[in-house]
Amino acid sequence: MRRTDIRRLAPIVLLTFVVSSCAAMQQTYQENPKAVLGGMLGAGAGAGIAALAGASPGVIVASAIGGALLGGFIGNKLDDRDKQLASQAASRAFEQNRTGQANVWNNPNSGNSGSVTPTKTYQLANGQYCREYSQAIVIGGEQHQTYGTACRQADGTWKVQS
Amino acid sequence: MRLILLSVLTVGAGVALSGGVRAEDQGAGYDPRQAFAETDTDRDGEIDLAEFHARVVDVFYIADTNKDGSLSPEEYQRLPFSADFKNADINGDGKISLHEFVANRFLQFQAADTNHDGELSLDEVLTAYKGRTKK
Repeated sequence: MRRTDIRRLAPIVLLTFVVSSCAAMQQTYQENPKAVLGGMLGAGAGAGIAALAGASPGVIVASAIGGALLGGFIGNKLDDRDKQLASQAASRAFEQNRTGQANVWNNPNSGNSGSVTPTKTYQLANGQYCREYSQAIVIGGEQHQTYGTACRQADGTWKVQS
Repeated sequence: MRLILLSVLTVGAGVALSGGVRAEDQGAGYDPRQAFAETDTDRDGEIDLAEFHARVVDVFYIADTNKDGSLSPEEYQRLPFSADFKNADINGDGKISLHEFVANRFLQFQAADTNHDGELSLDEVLTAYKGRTKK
């Protein structure tokens, strides 16, 4: 393949990956809309609590990450410190880690632990970065696995999409 | 062409950047076999286009330290064995977009794929690595 051919091919390849990522998110919603909506509601509730407490915008966004990360059944099983540690680990993983590199958190007081691992990185047409991730949380010795996508906001924080 | 092959090693073999610029990414202590294993995520012994693309995007993301969506000349030059910035900056706007970065790296993939099967074997990666170390 000649150089000019590849230059023509590259945007197509790139577009394919971006579209496939969006399609995967849509598929997740179609397969389990309650899970997606539950995550969104969890994020909203977390942000609301932080706002009521008079938190700064940065803190509010961080709480939104935690809420979406840990909504539903898993979130109910974690205490506030667990959620804080999980949110911090996720933010660091999204911002700094290469794909496949996990950030681990552990709360000795609750005995719970977890990890967040970016599994795929892509960029939207507007230049915004998004990262798919897997999350493992061990509660009472039982491991729970979740998956999602987070996108970097203009202020440097990350927002979980699903 | 030699420079291209060196860059392929850096990115295609999965050397590249990970969590910042590591010592091995700068050449010293770099293990091409380990890098190959990291990039060959499906463990089939070949780096295919999807694996290569995923790695290239990851490299770009880590190299983009200010996360503005493109690489400045300074960010680009921190990548080991980077090709000439002006050559990589296809549209001449003074920064490397992901589109430009991917386009360049796919050229390098093609150059390293000596048997033209659309995948990089470990032998092809090691051959490119030898070319790098001989320079």
